Amino acid sequence: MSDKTVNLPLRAKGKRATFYKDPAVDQLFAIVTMLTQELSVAFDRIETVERMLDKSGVISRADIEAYKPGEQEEGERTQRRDEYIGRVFNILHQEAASLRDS
Amino acid sequence: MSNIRNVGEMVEPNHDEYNRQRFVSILRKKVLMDFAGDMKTIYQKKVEPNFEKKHGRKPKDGREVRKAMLHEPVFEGWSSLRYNAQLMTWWSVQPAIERDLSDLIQAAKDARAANPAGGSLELNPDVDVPREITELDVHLMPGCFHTEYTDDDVAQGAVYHYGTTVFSGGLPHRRITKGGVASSIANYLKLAHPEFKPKRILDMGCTAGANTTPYKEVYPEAEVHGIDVGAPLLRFGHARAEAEGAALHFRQANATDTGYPDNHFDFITSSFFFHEVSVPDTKKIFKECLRILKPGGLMLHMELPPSALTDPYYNFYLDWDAFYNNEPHYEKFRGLDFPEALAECGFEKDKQLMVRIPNFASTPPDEFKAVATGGDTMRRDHGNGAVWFTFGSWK
Repeated sequence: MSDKTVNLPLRAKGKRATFYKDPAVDQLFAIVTMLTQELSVAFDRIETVERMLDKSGVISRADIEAYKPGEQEEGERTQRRDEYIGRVFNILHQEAASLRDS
Repeated sequence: MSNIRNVGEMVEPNHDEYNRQRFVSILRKKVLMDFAGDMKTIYQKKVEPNFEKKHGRKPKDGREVRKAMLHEPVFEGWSSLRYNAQLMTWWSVQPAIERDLSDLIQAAKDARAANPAGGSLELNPDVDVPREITELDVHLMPGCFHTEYTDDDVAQGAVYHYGTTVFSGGLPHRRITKGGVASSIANYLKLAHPEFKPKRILDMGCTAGANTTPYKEVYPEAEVHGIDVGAPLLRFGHARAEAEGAALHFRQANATDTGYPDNHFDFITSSFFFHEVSVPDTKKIFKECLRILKPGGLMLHMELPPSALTDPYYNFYLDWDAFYNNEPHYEKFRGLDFPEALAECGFEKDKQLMVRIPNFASTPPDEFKAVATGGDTMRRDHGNGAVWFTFGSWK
């Protein structure tokens, strides 16, 4: 019967195309494209939340736009951004780190 | 209209799923319009001049352009984006379809039981599904046109129907309606050949029927049939048509051997069909069309234009799909000499026609009418569907 759960396949039958000499670049490209999509979706969700808060009168979008963090808060954000960039680009740092450790 | 649920409108993506779909639509628009323009600029300003310096002439065909472009960073990047956007198109609709599948199947069964519009659905599990479909997921759509995962399955019909909406959802001329090819051909015929009133129409390779429906709208008196090898597409197409009040007759059959009687149809058509078919099968289908077409009837298929009618760069651009979109016959089909191939299959050359039909919904009515009554359209952008290339013959 039709009530069993169906998992639709993600892979398309046939050889996966590559465009770069190193297929790792193709994989990376796929990952970056998916990440770009997820970031776009995250923006959409934030915008939805902002608009709903605005509509319900809790916070106005204009207030969000005009918001300026104080000095301490800016410091905390700077720290978070710094760590974030370090995590994302960790690969660039790894070789040097391993040489330093050895 | 009936009160059965419309499988074509039932699936509700959640917030993030919807926005993933919107992202893919817009990404595809960027790739096909904006970045494709960048790639062409790089070709014209750099790649072609370099080729000319080296060879003392311009590239003679799409293959030569392709060779010159293959390792250009813009081609690698553009292709990667296009390829990923293609896969992401289907992925973006799958989760909501998985979730709603049993409801979709039930709605399709309800439509079949009530059959309010009076169409029909005839399935044949023994139909000969060609190898290029069973071995390769065409358009990179996982599961292709034919795979069935459960009883009375409509999943692939839904993936195709909702996926193609995402696929063309960012393109300005395609936003208006589904079935753009058929509504353009049907409205063209009505203006160009007002005396031609087909009583029985066949759409070959009709998939989920998006390009079958408009013929019933333009020729409401006609009996409109659609054939395809994919059962889930046909079930879905029939259910959608019934819910929308369109009496369409869907049948699972291979176009090479339809099983219809001789001299049966007044009009035979297809859209984006032949480039998925091998050249030997294409010729078999032409012969089958000749057999089942009534004398005085018309066969007019929409396709990508033959490479003889487009320039080398455009051939390189269009043939991308042959290499990367699991459409292995695409380039060979476009390489055919269309008038010769039709003649070889019995269609007399003086009865053949090749017409560029502007997309009906996005073309100013005066321009559309001028083309239908003998003018040529200056529109050439087949890849993005601003104009549809059609070819065929009277019998």
